[in-house]
Amino acid sequence: MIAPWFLFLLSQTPQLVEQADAVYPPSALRDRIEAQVLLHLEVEAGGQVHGVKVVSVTLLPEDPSRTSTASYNFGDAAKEAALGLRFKPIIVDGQAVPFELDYTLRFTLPPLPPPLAIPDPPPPPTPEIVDDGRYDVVVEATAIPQAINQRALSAADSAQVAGTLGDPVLAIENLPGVARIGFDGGNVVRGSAPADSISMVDGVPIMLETHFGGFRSVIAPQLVERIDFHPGNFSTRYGRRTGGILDVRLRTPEPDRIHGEAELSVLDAGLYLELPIGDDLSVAVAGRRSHLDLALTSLLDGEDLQVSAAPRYYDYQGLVTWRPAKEHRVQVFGMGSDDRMALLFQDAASDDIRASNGSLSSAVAFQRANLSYDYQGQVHNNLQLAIGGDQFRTLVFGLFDFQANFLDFNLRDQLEVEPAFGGKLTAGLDLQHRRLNYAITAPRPPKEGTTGSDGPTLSAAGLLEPTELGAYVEAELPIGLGLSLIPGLRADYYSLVDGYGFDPRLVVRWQANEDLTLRAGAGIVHQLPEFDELVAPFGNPELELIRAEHYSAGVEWRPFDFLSADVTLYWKELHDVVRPTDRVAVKDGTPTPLVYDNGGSGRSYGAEVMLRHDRAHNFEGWLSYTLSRAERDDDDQTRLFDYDQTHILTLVGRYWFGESWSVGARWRLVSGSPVTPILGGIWRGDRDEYEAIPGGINSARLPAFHQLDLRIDKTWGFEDWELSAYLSLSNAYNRANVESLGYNFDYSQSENVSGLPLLPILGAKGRF
Amino acid sequence: MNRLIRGAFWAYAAATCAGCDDNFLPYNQVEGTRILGISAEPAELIPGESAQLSALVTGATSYRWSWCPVTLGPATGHACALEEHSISTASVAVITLPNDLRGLCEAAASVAAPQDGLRLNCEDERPSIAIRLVVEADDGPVSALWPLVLGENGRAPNLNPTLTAVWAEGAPLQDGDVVSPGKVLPLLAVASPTVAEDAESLKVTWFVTGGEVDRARTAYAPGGDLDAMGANTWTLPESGEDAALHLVIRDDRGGVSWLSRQVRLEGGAQ
Repeated sequence: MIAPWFLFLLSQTPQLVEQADAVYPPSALRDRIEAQVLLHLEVEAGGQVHGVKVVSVTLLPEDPSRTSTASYNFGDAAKEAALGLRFKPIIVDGQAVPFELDYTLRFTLPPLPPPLAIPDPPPPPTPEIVDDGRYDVVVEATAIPQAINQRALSAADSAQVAGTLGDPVLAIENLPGVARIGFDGGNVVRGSAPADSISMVDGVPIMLETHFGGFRSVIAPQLVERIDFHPGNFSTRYGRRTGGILDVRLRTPEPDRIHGEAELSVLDAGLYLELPIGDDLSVAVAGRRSHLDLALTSLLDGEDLQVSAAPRYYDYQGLVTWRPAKEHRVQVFGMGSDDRMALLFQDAASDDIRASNGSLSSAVAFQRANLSYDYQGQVHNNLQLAIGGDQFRTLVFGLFDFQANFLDFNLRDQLEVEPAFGGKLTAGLDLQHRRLNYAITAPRPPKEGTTGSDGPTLSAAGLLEPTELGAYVEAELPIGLGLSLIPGLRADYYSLVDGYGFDPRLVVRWQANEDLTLRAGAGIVHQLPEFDELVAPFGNPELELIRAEHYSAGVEWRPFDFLSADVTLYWKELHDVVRPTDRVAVKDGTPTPLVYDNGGSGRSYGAEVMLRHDRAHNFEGWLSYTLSRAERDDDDQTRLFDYDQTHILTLVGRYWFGESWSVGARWRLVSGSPVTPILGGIWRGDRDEYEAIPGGINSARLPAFHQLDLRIDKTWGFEDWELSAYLSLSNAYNRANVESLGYNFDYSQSENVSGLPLLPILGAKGRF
Repeated sequence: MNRLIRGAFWAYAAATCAGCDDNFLPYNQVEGTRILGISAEPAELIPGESAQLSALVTGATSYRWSWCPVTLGPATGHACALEEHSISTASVAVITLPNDLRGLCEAAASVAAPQDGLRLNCEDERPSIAIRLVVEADDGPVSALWPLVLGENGRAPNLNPTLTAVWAEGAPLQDGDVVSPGKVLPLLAVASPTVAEDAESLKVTWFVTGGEVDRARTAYAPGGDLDAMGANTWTLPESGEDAALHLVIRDDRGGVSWLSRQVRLEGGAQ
C-alpha cells in the first residue's frame, strides 16, 4: 500500500513546462568536450526560475588526469539557460508557493558529419534540453578522447586552492610531478631545472610566468580558461624543452553584456572588464599593479639606502575575439609585464670589496601580441602569429651588469583532420626567430652542481639572431577495443648550434572500460643549451643540443562519479647535458678553456599519484604525491640534482558552509632540498673575504618542509553584482622552514635561514 | 634567460651575504688569529725577478709561505695542480720566480687539463701566480690565497697604494695614545696623493679589535673624493686595556698596504 504522504509528494513533483536553449561554450566545442552540469534552482511561485547556482560541473569524457570540473564555462552557459526554464506551479493549501530543486543539464556534442559525405558544416551546437522526468538531458554521442599525457587545471578550480591567491598558474605547484617552487620562480618538473621547462600562452612562449617573488602570475586569472600542464611525454606540437610544458589557455569571452571585476588586496590591485561589441565581436581587458612599493619606499629610504624604485610589478592584457562566421574565429591577444626595483646603497663597498658603485637594480619586462585565426569546418586549422619584446637589465654594485633586449617572432600553424576511419591527424609548423642585443659584464653565473660564482669578471656584447624551425605530425589512431595509438614525429632546426633534433614519440592508451584507462608513452626531446653557455667568453659556442628520453606509464581510474585516481610511473634519461668543465682545448697553439661541454648526463625517475574528490557533499579536494629521484653524473660519481625533492605530498581541500562561506586548506610535506656542506673557508686576499671550501656536492639535505595554508571566502550577492572577501593565511602555523644555511664570514659557524613566516593577505573582489 | 638572471642575482646575493647576519661577528671585528692583508713589494713581479712578501696577521705563532702557478678549484681549497713551491717560514718572505713561468703555466694546462677543478691563473687578463700563506696559532691554522700579479716588460708596473697617517681629533693617531672607553672618535685616514693619479679604484677595510666602526669598508672611485674614502668613526670599547685599528688599502690591480694603530683605554691596566 502506498503511503498517502508519498502520493502527496508525487503529486507535487515539479514539472517543466517551458524549455530553454543553452549556448554551447565555443572552446568546449573546439576541444570536443561534453559536460554534465548539476544546478540548484530557486523557482518563484509562478514557476519562473529566479535563482541558479552551479553545484558541480563534470566534464565528459571523464578524465582522471584532468583536475578540472568547471572549465570551458559550462557553468555560466548552464546558468544562462536555466534562467529561461519555466515550471508548473506547486500548490499548497490552495496557493502557489516558491520551491527549490536540483536540476541536471547535459551538454552533448552533435555527431560529426561523415567526411566527404556531407559537404555542409555540422549543425549548430545548441544542445537539446529534454525533460525525461528527472530533468536530465541525455543525448548519446561519442567524443574524441584526449589521448595525450597532460593535466589540466581550470581557472575555476585554482581559485579555490589555498596558498595560490586564486591564481591558476601558481596552482600548478600542487600537481604531481612539480616540485616546490623556490623564491626565484620557475617550475621544477620531474627533476628538471626551471630553465628546462617553458611557459606559454596559447602555445606562444613567454619569458616568465610569475612576477618577482613568485606571488603572482603575469596574467589575469579571469582571462585564463585552464592551464594545460605537460610534465613529460608531451605531444609533438610541443618541443625544445626537456622538462615540462605549461600552456596557459585563454578563455573566449562571449559576453552578452558588460562584465567586470575589481580586486584589491594588500599585494596589488587588479581590474578586469569584458564587453560585447555587436554580435560577433567581444573585448576583454585586464590590468594589475602591486602597491607594496608605496609602503616600502618610505620604510627603506634612509641615509644609507636610497630607494629609486621599490620592488613593484604590473601587467596588462587585452583580448579581442571576432567571430565573422561560426566556422571562423579571430583572436588578437596582447599582454605585457614589468617588474622593477632600484636601490642605491651609499656605501656598497662596505659590504663587498669588489663593488664599484652602489646600484642594485633589476628590471624585467616583456610584451607579446598574438594574432590567432581558427577555422573549424571539415578540418580544424589554427594559425598564430606573435611578436614580442623582452627587456632585461640587472645591476649589482657594478660587478654584475646584464642587459639584454630581445625581439621575438613566432609563427605557428596547425592543421587537424578527422579521417573517415576515426581518430585525428595533426600536422604543424612552429617557427621562432629572435633578435637579441646583449651586453654583459659579470663573472660566469653559477651553475647547477657548483657552489657559487667564481672567476674573473668577463664582458661580452653583441647581436644574436637564433632561429628555430620545427615541423611536426601526430596521429590519433583508434584501433579498436578501446585501444588508441598516438605516434608522432617532430623535427627542429636550431641555427644557434647549427643542429637538428629529431623527436619520435609514441603514446598508447587503452580505455578498458568507462572507469579505467591505461596509458604509456615514450619519446625524445631536444633542447638548446642556455644562452650564456653558448656565448664566448662566458661559454662554449661549440656546444651541441641536449637530449632527453621520456618514458611513462600510468593508469586512470574513476571508481565513483566524484572520485578519481591517477598513478603514473616515469623515467627521464638526460644525455649531452651541459656541465662546467676545466678541460682545455689547444686552439692555434694556445690553451683555451672550454668552460662547458656536453659531457654531463643524468636521470630522474619516480611515481606520481593523484587522488581527486570532485565537488560533492560540499567538499572538493585532492591528494597529490610525487616520489622523485633526480640525479646527475659527475664523471664517475652520481649525485643528487640541485632541485631534487624526493617526496612531495600535497593535500588540497575546500569545504562550503552553505552558499556563501567556504574554507580552503593546503598542506604540503616536502623533502628538504639538497645542500653542499661547507667544510671551512680560505681567505682570498684579492677579494678581502673568505671563500667556502665545499664538501660533497649535494651530499646533505635541509630539514623537511611542511606548511599549512588556509583561505576563507565570503560572498555577498546583490541585485546586479556580487562582492566577495577573502583572507589568505600562508604558513598558518608559522613553521620556520629552512630554505638555506647562512654562514659567518669565515664559514666556521652556520645557522638556518628560514622562509616566509605567517603571511596574512586580505583581499576583496567585486564582480558584476 | 630571465631565470638565469634571477638565479645569478640571488646566488650572488647569497654569496655576498656570508657574514652579514647580525648573529655573527662582523668581518671587520678581529678576534683570534686572522690574516688581514698580504702584500708584495714590488706590487707586480716579472718572471726572473724577486719580491718581498709580507702579511698583516693577528695572533699567529708561525708562518708558511708557498706559491703555485696553477691551482685546482675551491673544492680542494685551491690545492696546487703541480708541485707547490715553498718560499719561507718567516713572517716576511722573498720570492724569486723562474724565467719560464708562462711556459710552465701552459705546459701545466695541457698536462693537467683533465683534472677536475683545474683553474689556470695564467688565463686571466692579468696573469698571476697563487701565493699561499698558512699561519698557525693556538686556535688552529688559517689559510690564505692571494694572486700575485705578474708584470710585463714594457708595461708600467703597478705601485702599492699607501696610507700615510690616520688622524683623530686634529692630530695623527699614534700607537699608545690614550683614549676614553666608549669614546666616539672621528677618524680621517690619509692616503698618499699619488694613488689618485693612477685613475683606479681604491678600497679601505677598517678592522678593529675592540669597539666598532661606522663603515667596515670605504671606497674611492676615479674622479671621486679621496678624503671621503678616509673618513670614518670609531666607537671605542667600554672596557678593556687597549684596542687596535688596522686599515688595509687595496687598489684594483693587486696593490695592497696597511697601517695599524694601537691605543690604550683610559683606566685600563698598564
